Amino acid sequence: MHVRLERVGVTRGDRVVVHDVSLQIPTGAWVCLIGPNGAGKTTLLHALAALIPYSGHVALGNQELSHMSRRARAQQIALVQQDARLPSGMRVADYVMLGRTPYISYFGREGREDRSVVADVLDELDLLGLRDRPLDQLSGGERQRVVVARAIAQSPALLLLDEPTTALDLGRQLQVLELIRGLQHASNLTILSATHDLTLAAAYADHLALISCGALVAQGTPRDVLTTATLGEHYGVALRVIHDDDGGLAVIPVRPPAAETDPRTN
Amino acid sequence: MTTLPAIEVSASEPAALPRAHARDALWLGLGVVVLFASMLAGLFVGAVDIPPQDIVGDLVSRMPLVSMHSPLSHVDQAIVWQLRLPRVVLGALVGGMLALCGAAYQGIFRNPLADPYLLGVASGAGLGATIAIVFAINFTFLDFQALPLLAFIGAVLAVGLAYVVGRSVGAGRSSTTLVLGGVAVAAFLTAMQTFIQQRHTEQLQLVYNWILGSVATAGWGQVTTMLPYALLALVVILLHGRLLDVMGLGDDAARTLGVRTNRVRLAVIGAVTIGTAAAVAVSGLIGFVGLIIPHVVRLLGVRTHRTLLPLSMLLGASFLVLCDLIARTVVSPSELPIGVVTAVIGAPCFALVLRTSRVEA
Amino acid sequence: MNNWISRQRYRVAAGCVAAVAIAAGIGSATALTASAAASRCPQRIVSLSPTATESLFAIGAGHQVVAVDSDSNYPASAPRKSNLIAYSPSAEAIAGNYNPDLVVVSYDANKVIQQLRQIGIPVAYQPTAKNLAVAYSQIEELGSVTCHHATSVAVVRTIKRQITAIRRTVGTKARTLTYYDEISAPPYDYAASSRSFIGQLFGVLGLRNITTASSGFPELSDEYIVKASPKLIFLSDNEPNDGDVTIASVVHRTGWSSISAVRSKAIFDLNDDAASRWGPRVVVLMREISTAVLGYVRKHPHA
Repeated sequence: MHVRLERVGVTRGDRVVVHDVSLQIPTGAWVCLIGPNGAGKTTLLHALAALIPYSGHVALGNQELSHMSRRARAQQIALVQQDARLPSGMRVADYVMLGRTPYISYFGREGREDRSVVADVLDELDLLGLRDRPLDQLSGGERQRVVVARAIAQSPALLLLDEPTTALDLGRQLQVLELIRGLQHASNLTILSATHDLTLAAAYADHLALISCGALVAQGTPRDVLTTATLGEHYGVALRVIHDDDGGLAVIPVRPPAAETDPRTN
Repeated sequence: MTTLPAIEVSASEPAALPRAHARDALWLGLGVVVLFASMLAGLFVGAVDIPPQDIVGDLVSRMPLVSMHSPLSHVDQAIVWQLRLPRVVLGALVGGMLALCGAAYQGIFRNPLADPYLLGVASGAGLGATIAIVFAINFTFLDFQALPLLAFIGAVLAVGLAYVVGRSVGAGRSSTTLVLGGVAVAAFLTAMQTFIQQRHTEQLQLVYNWILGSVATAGWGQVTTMLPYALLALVVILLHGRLLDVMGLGDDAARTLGVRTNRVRLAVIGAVTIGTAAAVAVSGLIGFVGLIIPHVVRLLGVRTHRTLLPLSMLLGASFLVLCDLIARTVVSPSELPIGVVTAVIGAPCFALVLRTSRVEA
Repeated sequence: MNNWISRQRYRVAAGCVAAVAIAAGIGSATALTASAAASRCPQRIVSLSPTATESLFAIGAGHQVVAVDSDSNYPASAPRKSNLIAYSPSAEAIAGNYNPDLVVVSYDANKVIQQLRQIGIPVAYQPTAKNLAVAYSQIEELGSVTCHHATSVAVVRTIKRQITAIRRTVGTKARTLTYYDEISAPPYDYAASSRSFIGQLFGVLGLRNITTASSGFPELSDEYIVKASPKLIFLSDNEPNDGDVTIASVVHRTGWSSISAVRSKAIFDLNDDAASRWGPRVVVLMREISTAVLGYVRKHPHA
């Protein structure tokens, strides 16, 4: 599902949080939003999830987002929030089944197809063994997989991820991101995520979009966007970007000289 | 809509009932049995000693095509069928409704301390009842007596007022502003009620008795008064079982799943208000049932509202029937106010629940 | 699934028949409406009203009374049951334990009136009398339902006569006297206003209440009482379990020393029980009041 943002803006109260963001996300691509805190990344994701009003145009395929019915939107777009709330004590399978809500009528019950989709999703995310486990008995990594599973159960065309790897250790981070990449390739899922971790963003995203102070200031491949100059200007800190032979990329903070800041030597 | 890739559908999944759902069904069956047993106990046990086998004998003697004399005296027959039976049925209806509404509110407000009186229902009903008692209003309108009618109207108006106040406060109609609106309205209405009571202290005892709650009843009048509203509330709330689970994810997540959160909240609050107002109108303010029973059900491991709601209803009904049994037998020939019994049993239970379960954030 | 049902066919059918029979049985049981008791003289009366108890014994129906509530302490010979509480009665227990053919109630708690009537027990409902006329008619009503009509009429006549006599001895002496009848002590100064039943008794003797509020028992502020400076103060809250207010404690209340009644020590205890009932002992109450008034007038002839 090709996604096109045209001059999207979000105003909260009298504060302009996002202005004039135009972005193209090709079908099946993973675009990652990066940028300092408060830049507007989460706001942009929430606008796309139709949680807050926005100005401008957002097109999903050839449909205008604001013209789509609530139900149609829920069937196309899934959001994984930063602090997803997990109802305590609910079983994993029941929680993931909640993702099928857009396909069930108001007073209806889940049907055979819903159960089969949930079973498939649990299988893909390696959660079959945990299907009867209560949510509060899951580890951090398992929890994140479950939250992603619920979003995938919506059978979306566009997956929005807000900081999917915060609070996970490196191993879990990679596991979750690999899973998402697997889903991306298997179902041609279009993904828009927001993250703080520049190195991981560079490793997994096809394109990066740097948001700073509500505006889109740079976009392109990770190599194009993650330059010392660009990052230094918008993050306001000294950084060094290094490339390795396999095409990998890492962002390394440059610490100021010791003599100037270490109080012990002064 | 993208389709999932061609993974072989595991043959075992959809056909067999998942183990967890079978367990839920078992609890429901058990709940029905417990309710039936409680109601039977309520019929057989009372202030007067009437042997259960004689009660059964009396029932048999009334069946068509049976010509047998009843083993019960006229007074005993009247006691069992005119006093105990309607009382037990009313107790089950009120207890079930309060527990169901409590569970629904705990779900919709995502707050384990919610009870059906949350949005000012109690104060509104109390004010309506106080007005009816103090000004000796005695009309009968369309078969509804003044006291329950005014209590009902008071309850519904209070919630409406809470809605209006809550809406004017917060930008979004979130649950928090609604609850705060309810607190404000409850405080105001309680103050008005106290004011009226103070100026008419002769009726203080009557008002107080009403507030303490009672399922004492004569005949089926109160059951038939309450029944249509209770059924309406029951049906609407039970049908929202799945949606309450979705709402438990938070407003934002629910909206991304295509749910109209404000509408769902309105529907559930409306149904709970009608059901609770009907219960309060006929039985006063019985506390703890709506608060405790859903937690007890959760302790059994039932977490999805699809099962939590009906099981709370069954357990709440049984609980109140048994509390009423205690209330009308322990200090015979007097009766304890049923609110006292539910509190004495309910408060320690609540403390236990807090200790053994984690409170949701 | 279908095979299973057809196999259980007979059991299902039997279950349905049983259910219908039970329903029919219950239906017939609940459809029966209680028939009113035959109109003969009740021999097993239960009284849940202290006032009615006094009246029943006064009109000669005492031997027909089998149980009275815990507050019915007069006369002492009444069969008082300490666990029979008028504010929270159990209709079932009353019916089962005493098998009454008449129950007298002054306060409808727990829908006890409806419940008793539902099971065929006649109930006489005699709430607090608004005035003497109602009190008299209640005594006569008791007389007619207990087959002591003539006696009850005579009792009422006697009461009227005695009250008239008391009124005559007081004459017009009380016309300038103001009074305050305290139901409960500060900080909740509840007074009996002139519209309450007891206030009307005072009115019969010509006394003027310091408050004529429409509600029978208004809460007065200390200031109001001090400003009104009643000439007489009566205490209806002097029982140990009902306020335990002594005359001495009233004298020492802050700010009350300027009140006329306090200065001239015109503070009187009233018999608590008599003051809260509206039966034959209203005469006792009026005697207490007239004694206080006459004593005061004697000491302060120019008041």
